Amino acid sequence: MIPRSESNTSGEDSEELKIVGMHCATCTTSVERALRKAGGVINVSVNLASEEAVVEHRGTPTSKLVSAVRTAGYDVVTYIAAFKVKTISAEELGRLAAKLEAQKGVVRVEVDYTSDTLRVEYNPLTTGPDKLEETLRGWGLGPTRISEQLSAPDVVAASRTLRAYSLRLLVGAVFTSITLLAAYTNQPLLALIAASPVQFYSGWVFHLGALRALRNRVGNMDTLVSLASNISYFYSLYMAVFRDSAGFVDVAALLVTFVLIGKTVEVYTKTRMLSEFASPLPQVAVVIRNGEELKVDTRTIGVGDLVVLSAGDKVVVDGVVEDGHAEVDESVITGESKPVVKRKGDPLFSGSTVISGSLRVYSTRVGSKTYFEQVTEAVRRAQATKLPVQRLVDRVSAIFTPLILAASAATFTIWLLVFHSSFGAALTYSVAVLAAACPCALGLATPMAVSVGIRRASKMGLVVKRGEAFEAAHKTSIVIFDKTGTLTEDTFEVESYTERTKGALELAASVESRSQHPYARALVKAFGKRFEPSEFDSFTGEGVMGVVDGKTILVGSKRFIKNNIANHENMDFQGDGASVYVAVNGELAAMVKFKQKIRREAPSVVKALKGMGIRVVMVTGDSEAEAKAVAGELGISEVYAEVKPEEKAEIVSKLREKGVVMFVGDGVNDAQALTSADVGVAMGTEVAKAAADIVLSSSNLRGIIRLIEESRRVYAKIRQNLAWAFGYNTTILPVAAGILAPYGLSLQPEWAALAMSLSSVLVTLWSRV
Amino acid sequence: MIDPVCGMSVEKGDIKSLYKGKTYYFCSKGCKTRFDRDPEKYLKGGPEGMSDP
Repeated sequence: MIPRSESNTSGEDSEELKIVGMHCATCTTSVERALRKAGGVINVSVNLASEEAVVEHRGTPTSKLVSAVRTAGYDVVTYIAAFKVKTISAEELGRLAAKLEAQKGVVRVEVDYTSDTLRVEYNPLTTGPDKLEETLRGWGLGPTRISEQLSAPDVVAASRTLRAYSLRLLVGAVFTSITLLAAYTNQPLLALIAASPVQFYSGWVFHLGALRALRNRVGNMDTLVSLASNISYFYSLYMAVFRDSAGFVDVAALLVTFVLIGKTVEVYTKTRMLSEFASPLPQVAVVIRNGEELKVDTRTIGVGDLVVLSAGDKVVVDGVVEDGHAEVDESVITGESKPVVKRKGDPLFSGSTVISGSLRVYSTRVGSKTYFEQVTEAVRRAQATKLPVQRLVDRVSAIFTPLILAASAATFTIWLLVFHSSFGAALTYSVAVLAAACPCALGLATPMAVSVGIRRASKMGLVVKRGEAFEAAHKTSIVIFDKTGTLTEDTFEVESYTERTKGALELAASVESRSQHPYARALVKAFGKRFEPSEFDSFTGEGVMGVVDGKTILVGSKRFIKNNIANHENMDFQGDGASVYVAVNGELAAMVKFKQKIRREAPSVVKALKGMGIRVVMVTGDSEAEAKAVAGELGISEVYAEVKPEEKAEIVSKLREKGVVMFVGDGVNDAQALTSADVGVAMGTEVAKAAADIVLSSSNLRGIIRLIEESRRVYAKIRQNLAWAFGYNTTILPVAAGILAPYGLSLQPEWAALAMSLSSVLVTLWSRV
Repeated sequence: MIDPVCGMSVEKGDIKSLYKGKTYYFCSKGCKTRFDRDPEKYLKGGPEGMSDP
C-alpha cells in the first residue's frame, strides 16, 4: 500500500504556499532545501506545475516559511487585507499586531498608528480575511475591513510571471534587431551597446536563476542559458574593445531572445491552463432577505438562505430548488454537457450554470463546504503531492545540468587542444552545447501533463483527491465493485407478481403512494396510483395498512400479512429475497417480487473493462442467490457474496497480491476497503467526506473507464516526453559540439538556442493536448 | 391505550404492531418484540407486568 499522510499528531501541522518564480525542475529542489532549513520543518514537497509547496512542520510560523522562500530568491503569493480597528493605545495595538503575526497563515502585520489600521499580509491558502476579522473581533478590536484583493492565487501568480516575461521579450526583440543590424554593418561598438539591454535586462531572469541555483549548489536550465549568453557577451566585449571586432555579440542577444520566446509561450500556456480551469465563483449573488431581493457578497450567504438565479448565473451554493424551473449546465460535476432540467426539490451544485429559466435555491452548503470549493481544494492538494514518476524525473534532471556543463567543457578542450582550432571557434562550439541542451521535457512537461490530466478528470466529474492514485489508475488490472450503490441503484423494480384478486395491485400501489420505501416506489411505478387512501398507517420494517376505495389493504412482509389474515394456506411464493404480499379485506390477494435495479451503464462498463484486459470482481453483503443474479446479468463471473464490511478490505488486500486494485464503492460503508485499495473510487458528491482517492461525482460508472483512459493517456504522454527529451538531446548535442563539422555542418549557438526553445515549446504544447 | 405486554398506559406512537387487523401500541421495543413473538399469549392471558426482563 502506498503510504499516505494522515492527520496531524503530536503538534504537527502543515501549510501550503504558492511559490512564484520556479521555472525549472531544479528550482523545486532549491525551494525544498530552503524550506527545510526554516526550522521545525519535518517534510516538504514542492510541485513545479502547480507551483505549490506543502510544508509539514512543528509550529513553524508562516512568516518564517515565507522568508525562507524569499531569501532563496523566490516569492510566495500573499494577499493583503486591511482592517480599521478600535482606537486603543499604541502600545497595546503593537502587542496585538505581534500576536496576530504569530497566527497560522499570517506573514506580516503593519500597524498604521495614525489611522488605527492594520495591514495584514497573509497566505491565502491558509487563512482569509474572514478568519482574520474573526480573530481581531475575538480580541475586542471590532474591526472593519477596508479593502481586499480578489482573484484566485494561482491565476494572480501566473499572470504576474507572464507580464514580466512578455516585457522582457519585447525589449529583447527590439534590441536584438538593432544588434543584428549593427553587427552585419560592422559596427561592433553599437552592436555591443544594443546587446546590453538584452543581456542585462531581458536575460536577467536567467542570470538571477543561475545565481540562485549556484547559491543553493544546484544547476538548472538558467545555469546553462546564463552561462552561454555571458560567455558570448563578455567574449564579444573583449573582442570589441581590444580587437575592434563584433565577436559574436549577436549570438548573445539572439540566444537570450530565443530562449525567452520559448519561456513566454510556456508561461502563457500555463496561465491559460490555470485560468481555464480555475475560474472562480462570482463574488456577488442575489439573495432573499426579509422578503426582498438583495445583492450580497457571496461570503455572507448562510445555510438556509434563498439564492435567486436566472439565466447565465453561476450557482454559488449547493442546495435544493425551492421553486422555479430552469435548464442547468452541470458539466463541471457530471462531465455531461447536455443541460439538465431542474425543478422544485432537485439538488443543485455550485459551479454549474443556469442556461435558461430562473430558480430560487435553498442553500444547504455554503462557502468552503460547497461542492465547487471542495473540488478545487481537492485538486489543488492532489497536484501538490509529489508523484512517484516525478521523483524519477527529478533525479534525472538533477544530474542533467552537471552533465551538460561537463560536455561543454570537454567540447571546448577537445576543439582547442586536440583539433587546434581557434579560441573563438572552440568557444562557439562549447556555447552551442550549453544553448542546445533542453531539460524542459523533464522538468516542466511531466508535472504539466499530470496537472492537465487531473484537471481534465475533474471536468469529467472525476475529482482526484490523491495524485498517487491517479498515477496508479493507469496500471489497474483488477476492478472490484461493491455492488450496492455502484453496479445497482438503491431503487428496486418489480420482477414478477401473481394477482389472485383482480385490481389488488392497483389498490396496493395506491396505499404505497404514501410511503417512501424503495419497494413502495417500485409498486407505484409499476401499477400506478388510482385512489387517495382515506386511512394510512405504516409499520416500519413490516408493512403498511391503508383504506382505499372502502377496502382495507395491507402490504408487507410474509409475516406481517400472515398475522393479519384468516387463511394462511397457499402463501408460498417462488423465489428468494425481496418480495411483498398484499391482502385485501383480510384475504391474501397478491404477491410481488422485486429486483434491484441495475445501473443502465453498468453492463457496458463491465464489458469495456474486460475489453481493456481488466479483471472485474463484485463484492456484496447480499445473499449468494441475489448476488449471482445481478452478476449474471452483468457478465461478472467472480463474485464474493455475504461479505461483511470489514471483510471487504481483506478481499482487497488479497487481490492486491495479484495486481493493481481499484475498488469502487458508494463511499459510505466501505471506507476501509477504499483506503486499502491502490485506487479507491467513491460515487457521490461528498468530496471531502468520502474516504476515497477519487470521487466520481457524476455518479456515472462510465467515469471509471474515463479515469483509466485519462491516467493511461497522461502516462503515455510522460513516456513520450521522456523519449523526446532523450532523443532530442542525444541528437542535437553532438551536432552542437561540432561532430558534423568535418562535413561542413555545424550548429551556431543562436540556432542551438532556437532549437532548444522550440523543443521546449513543443513539449509544453504536447503535454497540454 | 394499554400496552398488551406490560400493561402500562401508552400513547399512540411509532412502536406498534398490526395483529388480526387491530393496531397495538407498546411502551418500548422490548414489549413489541415479545408481543410479535407470540401475540396470542398476551391477548388471551393479559399483560404480565414488567417483572421479567
